[in-house]
Amino acid sequence: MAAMIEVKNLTYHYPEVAQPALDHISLTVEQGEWVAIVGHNGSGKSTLVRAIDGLVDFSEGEVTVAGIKLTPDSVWDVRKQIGMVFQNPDNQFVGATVADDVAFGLENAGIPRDKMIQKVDAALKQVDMAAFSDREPSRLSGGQKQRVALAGIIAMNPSIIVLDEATSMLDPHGRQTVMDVITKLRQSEKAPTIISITHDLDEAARAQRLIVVNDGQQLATGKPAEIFANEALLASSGLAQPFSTRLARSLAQQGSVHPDHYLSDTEMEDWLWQSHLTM
Amino acid sequence: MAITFDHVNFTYQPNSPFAATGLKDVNLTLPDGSFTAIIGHTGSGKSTLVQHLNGLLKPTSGQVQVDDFTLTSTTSNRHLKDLHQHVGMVFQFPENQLFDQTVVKDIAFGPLNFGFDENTAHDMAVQAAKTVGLPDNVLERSPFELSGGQMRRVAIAGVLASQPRVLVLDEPTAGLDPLGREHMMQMFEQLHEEQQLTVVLVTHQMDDVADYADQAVVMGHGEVLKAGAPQTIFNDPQWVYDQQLDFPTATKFAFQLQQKGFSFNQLPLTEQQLADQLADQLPAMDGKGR
Repeated sequence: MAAMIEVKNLTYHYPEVAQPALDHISLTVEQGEWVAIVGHNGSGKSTLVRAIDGLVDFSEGEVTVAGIKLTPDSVWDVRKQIGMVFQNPDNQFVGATVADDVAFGLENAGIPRDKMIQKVDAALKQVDMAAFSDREPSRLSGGQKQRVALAGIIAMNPSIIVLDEATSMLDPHGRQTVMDVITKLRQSEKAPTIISITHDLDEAARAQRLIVVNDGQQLATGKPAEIFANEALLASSGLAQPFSTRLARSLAQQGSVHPDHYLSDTEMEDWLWQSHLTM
Repeated sequence: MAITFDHVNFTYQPNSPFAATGLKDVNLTLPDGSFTAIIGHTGSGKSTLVQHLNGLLKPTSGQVQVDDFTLTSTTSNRHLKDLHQHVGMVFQFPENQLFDQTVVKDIAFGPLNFGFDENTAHDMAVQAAKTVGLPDNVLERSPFELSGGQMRRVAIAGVLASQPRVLVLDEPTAGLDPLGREHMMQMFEQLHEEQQLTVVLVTHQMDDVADYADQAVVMGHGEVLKAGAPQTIFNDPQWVYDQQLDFPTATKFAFQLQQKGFSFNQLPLTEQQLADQLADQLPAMDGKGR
C-alpha cells in the first residue's frame, strides 16, 4: 500500500501561546486505511488534521497528501483530495434544500448540470437521504444533517474523508446512522481513506488503526485492541476504559475469577460463560 | 426546592396556523434534593419541560410550583427574577454564551444582575470558579483563550455563582472527552450531595441515568410516558426498546450474557451491580487470573 498522507516533523504554535499545539509530530496514513485519531480535549488532534488540509500555517515540518507536497502553491490541489465533516451539524449548511446543499461543491467545481444532478442523487443514496432531497436542511435531525454534509463530500469524490468529531453532538441513534454510512462506504470499490477524530470508544473500535495524540505528539499507534489493552495510555488520552476492562476489575475486587488481559465485549462474554461452566 | 407540575399544557404559537403542542397534561413531582434525569428522543418535549422550571416558558394552562412560587400563564415577567436566581439553567454548549473580557467578570455577571454589590459578586464568582475546579491563574484571563473544557467550566461557574437551589442541566457534557465528562458529572454529583441541590439532568446518556439519577422521567410527544426509579423504568426492556431508548452499557452487556445462559435476579444497571451478580455465578479466584 502507498502512503496517502505523510506528516514529517510538523510543528505549530498558536499565536501567543507558549506550548506548541503540534510538537514535531510525524505519522503516515496508508491509502484506503481507516484511522481514528484519539486524544483528550486540547491534545492537538484537530490542529493536526487542519494542518494536513492547509488550514493552519505550520512553522516547521512537511506534509504530503496523495504524493503532493503541501505548499502555498499546492494547497488547493491538496484540498481537492480531502473532504471534512465538522462537529456542529448546524454550521455547515449553505443550500436552501438538501439537494442544493450537496450540489454546492460541485457547482464551485464547474461540473455540468446534468452530471451534477446524477452525482447529487448518487451521493444522497449512499447516505440514505435520497427521500429528503427537497427538504430544508434546518428541519432535519442532527444525524440526518451530518449525513447530508457527508453526501456533499462524497459527491466530490475525495481520496480522504476527515470526520472531526462529526458524531459528538448527535444522539446515539444519529451516531449509529453516520457510522453505518461510513462502514458501507468502506465496502465500495474505491473506498476513500478515512480519518476520524473521536472520543467515542465504539467509533474508535471500528477503525483499523488508532493514533493516540497527546501534547501535540504521537504517543502511540496500533490496532484498537492493542491500544484498549493499555490502561495507562487510555487514561493519558482522555479515553474511557472499555467496559470489559472495568468489569474485569470489579470482578477482581469481588474475589472472582477474571481475565488478566484485554478482551473485546464478545470475547469477554465467551470467557465469562466458559468460566461459569467450570463451576 | 420541591417542584410540582400540575396539569401543565404548553402550546407553541397558540391561536395561529403554526400552533404546535409542546407539553400535554404534564403532572410531575421533583422532591427537594432529588436528582432527576429527563430522557426521550430529540423533539420529545424534554427542553420544553425544563424551560418551564425557571419561567423561560410559561404554561398555556395548568401551573408549575417551585417551592412557594407559582408559575401560570398569567405570571408577569417582573415576578420571575427570584425564580431565575433560584433555578440555574445550564444550556447545551453553554460556552457559546460567554461574553466578558475576563473569566471572573463573566462569572460575576449573574450575581451583579441579581443585585449583589461588586465586591460580593466578585467573591461569589471566585467561589464558583473554585467549585468547578478552575485554577486561580485563569481568573483574569479572557475566557476565549481557554480550552473548550475550561470554557464550559467558566459557563457553569457563571450559573453556580448566583447560588441556585435547583440546577437544570441540558446535556452538560456533550462534546467533552470521556474523562472530562466523568469529572464534570462527579462535580454535579458532589454539588447535589454537599449542598443538597435539586438537580434536573436532560440526557441521552443512559449510563448517567443509571449512575446518578434517583428518578427518571421518560418524555414522548410532549407527554410524560413514564416516571420512576431508573430500575423501574429499565425493568421493562420491551417497553424501553419500543420507545427506541438506549440501555445502560452494563444492562446491554447483561442481555448478551442472559442469551448465553446467565441469569440475573435484578436487571443490572451499573458495572458494579453486574459484577456483584456475576461473582455469584463464577468460580472464586484460585490462582487463576491475576
